[in-house]
Amino acid sequence: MSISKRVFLVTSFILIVIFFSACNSLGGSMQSPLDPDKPVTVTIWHYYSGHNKENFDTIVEKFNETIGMEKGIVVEALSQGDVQQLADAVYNSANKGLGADPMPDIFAAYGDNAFRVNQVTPLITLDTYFSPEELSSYRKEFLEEGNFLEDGKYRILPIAKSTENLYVNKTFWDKFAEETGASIENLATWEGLAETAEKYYNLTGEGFFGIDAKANFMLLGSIQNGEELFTYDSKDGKASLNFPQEYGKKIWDYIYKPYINGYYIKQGRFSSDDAKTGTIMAYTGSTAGAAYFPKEVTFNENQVVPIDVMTLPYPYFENGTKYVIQQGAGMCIAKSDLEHEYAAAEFLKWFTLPEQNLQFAVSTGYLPVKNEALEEDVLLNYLNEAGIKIPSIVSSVKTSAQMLKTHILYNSKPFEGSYDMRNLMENHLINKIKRDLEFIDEEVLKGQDKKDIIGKLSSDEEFLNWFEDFNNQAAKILN
Amino acid sequence: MNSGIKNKSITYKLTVFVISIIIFQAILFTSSLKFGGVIEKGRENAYKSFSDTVYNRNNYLQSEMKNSWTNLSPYLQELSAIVQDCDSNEDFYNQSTNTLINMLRTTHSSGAFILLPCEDFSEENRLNSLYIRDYDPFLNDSSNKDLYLFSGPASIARDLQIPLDQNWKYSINLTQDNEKFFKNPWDNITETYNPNYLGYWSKPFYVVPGDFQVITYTLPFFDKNGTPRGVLGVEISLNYLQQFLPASEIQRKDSLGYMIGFKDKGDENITPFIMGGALQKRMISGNESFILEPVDDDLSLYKVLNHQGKEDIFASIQKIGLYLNNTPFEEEEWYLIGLMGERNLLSYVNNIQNVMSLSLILSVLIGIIGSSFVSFKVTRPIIDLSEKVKKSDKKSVFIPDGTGLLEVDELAQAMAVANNELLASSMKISKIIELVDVSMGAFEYSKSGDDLFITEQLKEVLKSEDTDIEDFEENKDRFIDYLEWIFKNVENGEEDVYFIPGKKTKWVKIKTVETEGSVLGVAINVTQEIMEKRKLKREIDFDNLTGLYSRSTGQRLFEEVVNSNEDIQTAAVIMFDLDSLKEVNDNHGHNFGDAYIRESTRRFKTVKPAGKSILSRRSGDEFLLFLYQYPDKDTVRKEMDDFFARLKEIPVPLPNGDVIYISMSAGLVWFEDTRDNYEELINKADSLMYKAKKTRKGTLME
Repeated sequence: MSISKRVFLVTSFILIVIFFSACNSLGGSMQSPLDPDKPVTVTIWHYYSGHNKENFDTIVEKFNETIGMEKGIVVEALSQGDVQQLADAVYNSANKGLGADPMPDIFAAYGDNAFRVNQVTPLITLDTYFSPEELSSYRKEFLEEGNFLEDGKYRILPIAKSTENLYVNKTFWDKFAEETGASIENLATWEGLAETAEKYYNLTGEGFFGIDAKANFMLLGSIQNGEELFTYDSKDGKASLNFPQEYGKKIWDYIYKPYINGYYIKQGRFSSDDAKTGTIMAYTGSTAGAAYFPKEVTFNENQVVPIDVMTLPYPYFENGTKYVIQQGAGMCIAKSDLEHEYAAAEFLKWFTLPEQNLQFAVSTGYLPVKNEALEEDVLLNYLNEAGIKIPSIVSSVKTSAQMLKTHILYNSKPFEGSYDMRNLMENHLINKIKRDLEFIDEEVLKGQDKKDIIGKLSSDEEFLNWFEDFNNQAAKILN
Repeated sequence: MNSGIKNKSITYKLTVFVISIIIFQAILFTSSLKFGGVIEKGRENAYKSFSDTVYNRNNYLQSEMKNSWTNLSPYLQELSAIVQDCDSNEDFYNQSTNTLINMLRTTHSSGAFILLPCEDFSEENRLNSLYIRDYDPFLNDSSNKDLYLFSGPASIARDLQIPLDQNWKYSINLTQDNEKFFKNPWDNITETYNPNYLGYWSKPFYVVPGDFQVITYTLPFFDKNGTPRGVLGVEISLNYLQQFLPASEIQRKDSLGYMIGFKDKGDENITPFIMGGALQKRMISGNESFILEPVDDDLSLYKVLNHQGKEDIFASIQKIGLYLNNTPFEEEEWYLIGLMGERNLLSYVNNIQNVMSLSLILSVLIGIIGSSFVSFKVTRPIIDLSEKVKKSDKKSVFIPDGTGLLEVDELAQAMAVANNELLASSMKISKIIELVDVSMGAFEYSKSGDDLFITEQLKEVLKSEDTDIEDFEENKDRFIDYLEWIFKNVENGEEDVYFIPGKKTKWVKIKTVETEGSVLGVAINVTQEIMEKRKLKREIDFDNLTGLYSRSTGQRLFEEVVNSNEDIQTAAVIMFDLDSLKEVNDNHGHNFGDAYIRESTRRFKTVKPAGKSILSRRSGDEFLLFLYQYPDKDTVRKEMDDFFARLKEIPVPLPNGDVIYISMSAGLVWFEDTRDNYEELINKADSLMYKAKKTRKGTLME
């Protein structure tokens, strides 16, 4: 046998072997653990509803059809209704509760729920899949919310942040201002707001204002007055209440009293609902709800009045510091396996790129999360380019961009019981107000003098009762 | 060896044979797949499977429509029972909210609504309504936190603690764009009393501007007295509907997915109106009707002719059974359309074809390599054997090694036996030739190969003084060169005889016979024969005693000159006769007589002729001289005079010491006419000579 023949035979054999084995070995050298031919499904649980959900689904669909297809990722998004239901569902899954769904790969969460879940099943720290450069492109304060263990590790990736604005029915305000000489500067502080509301009530007999997020108000009022409402112990994840009576009294005077007098009203599910029906003309609420600010006020079937919107910075206490909330759940990546965690991170990286991030955030009144997208001109430019026409959103984004300069962003930190604490803050006062309002109605029906009853209800004694009750209930939660 | 069959190597033949079989099998296999319908069957299966998927999806969609989305009857009755006149709408809404929410939950729709045409309707085209939305129908929350009030009194939302929708309005304005969902069922009430027959599926539309697209199913409802009061309906948002049309079901990746198309009364073609997926929207224009080419009527499978894709797009089209027969909208037909690109639809079939081609190529390749290898294995021992045979000593008995191939070994053994027998017999012949002592040798060489066979005797026969051919045995080329050198030395007048020059010239006779592959030759040493032949010839041509031409040779040469075209100029025939030979013989003996004749001859040779001459001896004492190419007769005469004069000057010593002078008489005849007869010329010269002898001995008479 000549050498060339032997070489030919051997070469052919090797070629054939390589040919057949090539099919199996492709892709082994790729950095990504994913195989586009065997896509992994990343489940996301979120709490978006209404137009936010439609918007989120649209962007997820875009991901699935482009990058997802390229990289072998299928994102399946499921809304759990609202933040609370989402939190419960995730916590349930983490605890492997009866009938609970398997843990999602990504879930939206506020710090408190992330903290709670992390105690049951560990969350992925972002530095596992994000480089330091990637992390530094996010606004620091937004990322900081994910540092709830204060160990320098981030466990929540911000994807959109909202803050709060003071929404004002400009049409009604202008008329009122013209008649009374009231200035929007009066709306800058809680004190001014209460005063203006009283004036408005006295003039029209109508409610003026409502607060959507009571817990946020309590947290912000405290820090605006100089001290955080909670003292955190990062070691055991516990916190203690730091609620001076002085601050309690301010809440009593500038919130409870206006409500009980009818200057402030909260009837609908959200204050925006009350604004739609003309029950109130202003409210503090999340920028995420900006779209819900009405374009017209519907007093009844046949009385519909078109209105303009005006958004103002979040109020602060006189002589206090301008603090405003930053909120909006971030996304947590649950511990699973390399493929799913990697795929989840890939999706979140893509989702927070300015192009998608602006599309998702701004059109629904949120703020994007990366520094480059948070520049005022970038935001305004996007509003133009995207042709966003809802006036309340345009106005809100502008005000928020301003507030990024004038206000300090504040976020509530999670601690053991923070979730229940939030519920307490959210409901304790407003429930009392509801009860008291009903009581007033009943007493008035019985022939009592409304002013007398209100006077009694707003006495210092009543304040101390409420203050004590709040402290007692908080103590139960915080041990 | 060559017998008219083309000779090819075993390797070649085996390889060709095996490959032919492989190709034949592959073609058989391929064509059995092709003509046996496997490919066609595969194609049909692909079509069938695709159509089945779409068919099942359509069934699922229809059942969802029938059992969930359009299942409004129970609520219709509830509402009919409580509905009053337009003045108490808000009460009615308050009473019916729970019914509506139940309906929303049970039908799994994204919205449920009641539309009541009252005064505003006739005046401003405004519909009093209660419209509740559920953005995520998959999730049912008992606390109703997932619901929004889309339209209706805000107090209802307040009581339910549900938000007002972003686009909330107290009532809904009807415009040209959205009126059908109300008007179609409402305006058709006259035709039938059973509301279920009046159900209407709207095409996608916006209920209010700035909202998202929905489809609705609406039907009219009546109060207790049978008076039409309004329209009840459910809404399916397109986004929600898409979840019932999972593109990945058709094809896991890059799916063109589903769409819903419609055909209105009088339309010829289906127009897409609910599209899914970016890829689909890129390929199919939503604005124009499909142009379809049927592929399989039974399966409702078509090719889409108007699309932006590069490959063929197949559409499996199933009619969605929206309406019962003879109902007002039955001519509005909706179709569920599954779309698939050819590459993916027929990927299995294409795979089979690819695999078949690949395996065909591979099997041919493997066949070539394999059969070459095997036949090489088979032929190697044979080649080795033949190499050994070639190199083996032809004169010794050859015993072949085993090749490991039974047939070849037997053949080799048989050949060896035959060859050895042949060798034995040829050795015998050699021996016989040796015994006969004929100097004869033989050789054989192959024309193309290196083979050369020479007998022992040949070396002796062909050897020259300076060339020994002993070592030619191993060198065919040198042997042939030597042979060719010999062939140049042709011996004239002898057939196949060549001389080998040397001190002693040697003559050989070589005869060769060419066969197809070899040259066979025999060489005989013929030196002896040639020498004897030459001697014999000389004896005939020349006179033995004098060395002059013999009488006949003289005549032949004369005739040759005369018959040649040479210009003989002046020529003469001269006859000489020794005058006193008889006396010399008698007085001094015959030996001296002979010497006397020889001396006479020598005297002729002393003459330097001016022309050319031929001298021959006629008989004992007669010589004939033929002179030609002389310038004139006088030159001849002078030369003759000088000859005769010299005879008288130089004596011949006798044995006894005395001397005598040679005397001869001669007769000369001028040769002037070429037609002159030789004999006549001789006779004339003869008579002139006798005349001279008689008249005056020792002179020439002309």
